Parts: sequence; structure tokens; C-alpha cells
Amino acid sequence: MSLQLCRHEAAILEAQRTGNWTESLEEHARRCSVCTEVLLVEAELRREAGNQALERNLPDADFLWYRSRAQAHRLALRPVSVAERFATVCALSIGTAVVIALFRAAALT
Amino acid sequence: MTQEEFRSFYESTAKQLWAYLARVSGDPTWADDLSQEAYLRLLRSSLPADADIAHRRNYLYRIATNLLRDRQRLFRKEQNTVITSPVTTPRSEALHDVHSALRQLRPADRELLWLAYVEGASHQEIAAMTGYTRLSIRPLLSRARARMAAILKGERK
Repeated sequence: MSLQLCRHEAAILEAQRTGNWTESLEEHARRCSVCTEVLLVEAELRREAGNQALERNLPDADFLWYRSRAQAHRLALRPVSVAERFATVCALSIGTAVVIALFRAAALT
Repeated sequence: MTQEEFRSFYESTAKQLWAYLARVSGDPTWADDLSQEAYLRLLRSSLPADADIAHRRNYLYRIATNLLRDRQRLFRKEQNTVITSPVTTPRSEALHDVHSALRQLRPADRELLWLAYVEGASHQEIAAMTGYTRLSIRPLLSRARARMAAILKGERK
């Protein structure tokens, strides 16, 4: 697809949005195939954007805020939980080693 | 960002972000999930607390666009097909052809067209929101627009 550009595109869009059309711009928009295309696509997309059937009730901002705090809290606690698990494993290993050593000592005597 | 600042930012951007995600993905349920995730990531991000609203908005759209691309990639991998997720909401006849035109475009084209013509974003803003370079926006947008116009004209013949 060949690349078609027009230097008036931005001005045409601005005029379409604000309604401030000058005579020369209107004349240009009628003649220029690129600007005609810009206006067609812009109008169709704006119509689609105004389609009420596709609107949703979005969650409350505060709900997301507290969800984010809860996530941050969980993430902050993660290193502590990892350290706790490591400490438990170490304690169990040391405890097992001590018990085995005591049994051996008892068996020798 | 304080809770009050977030509330005000959310209220000024949430509907537009949802509409962008719904139209680019073609699936409102994706838009529900991804818009929430985008705000959560924004809140967790290291964006300076004093970042202005425009910067924050661009950053939010960038997060949302990346999330959407990841989801589309995953979906394509799973389905091994082009994304044509149907929107099940009842639609009027007048809106049918633009919706169907959007569905025939590539997601990247939908992103550009929606941001430029509905959001009214400048090329610089679109670059910040999508990750493309600023200079590439004009030709990419022009091609996307030409494709959409061709589809619309074809449908109306």
C-alpha cells in the first residue's frame, strides 16, 4: 500500500474537532483524497467511541487503590517468609543432627 | 501518588483506557482485566510521584498496550489463529461496519487509529504510549488509515 500524506492533515483534524473551518481548508478537504480519508476514518471512529452499548461500570478507584496496597504488602512480606522457611529448615536440620549425635553418644557409653 | 491523586487520575482516564483496550482487543472482558492490571502496575511502578498527568497517562497507556500485546501473543500461541474475538454486545446497524472494519485491521493499526483519532493524541504521545519511534508514527498511521478507509468504502459499496 503506497504512502499518502498531506501537510494539511493536522489542520483538517483540528477544524473537524473544533468546528473552526476556513474557506480554503474546506475547499482543500473536498479536493484532497488523503484529507477525505482522514475525515471519514475520524468520523467513524468517533461514532464508535460514542457507542453507549459498549460502556461498562468500571471498578471504584478506591477498590484498585486498596488492592494495590494489599499486593504491595504481600510483596513486602515475601522476603520475611522466605527467611522464615530457611530458618525453620536450618533449625530442623540442627535438631535432627543433635538428636542423632545424642543417640550415638548414648550407644557408645 | 496519594489516594486522592489516584482517584482523580483514575476518574479522568479509566473510561478512555477501557474503550481503547476494548476496541483494540475486540473483547470487553479483556478490557476489564487489562485496564485493572494496568492501574495496579502503574501504582507499583517507580514513576516519580511528581510526574505530570500527561506523562502519567502516556505511561499508563504504554503499560496497557504492552499487557494487551502480551495477551494477544499468548492467545495466538494457544489458538494458533488471528485474533477476531467477537464482541457480543448488541450493536446498531450503523455501528456494524466500523466495528467490522476495526476487526479486519491488525491490532497495531487499531492502536494507532484509536489513539490518533479518538484520543486525539499527538504523534509524540502515541510514540510514548505504544513504544514506536515518533518519526515512524506518521507513515504507520497513514497506512492504517488507508487500510481502514478501504475496508469502509468496500463495505459500503
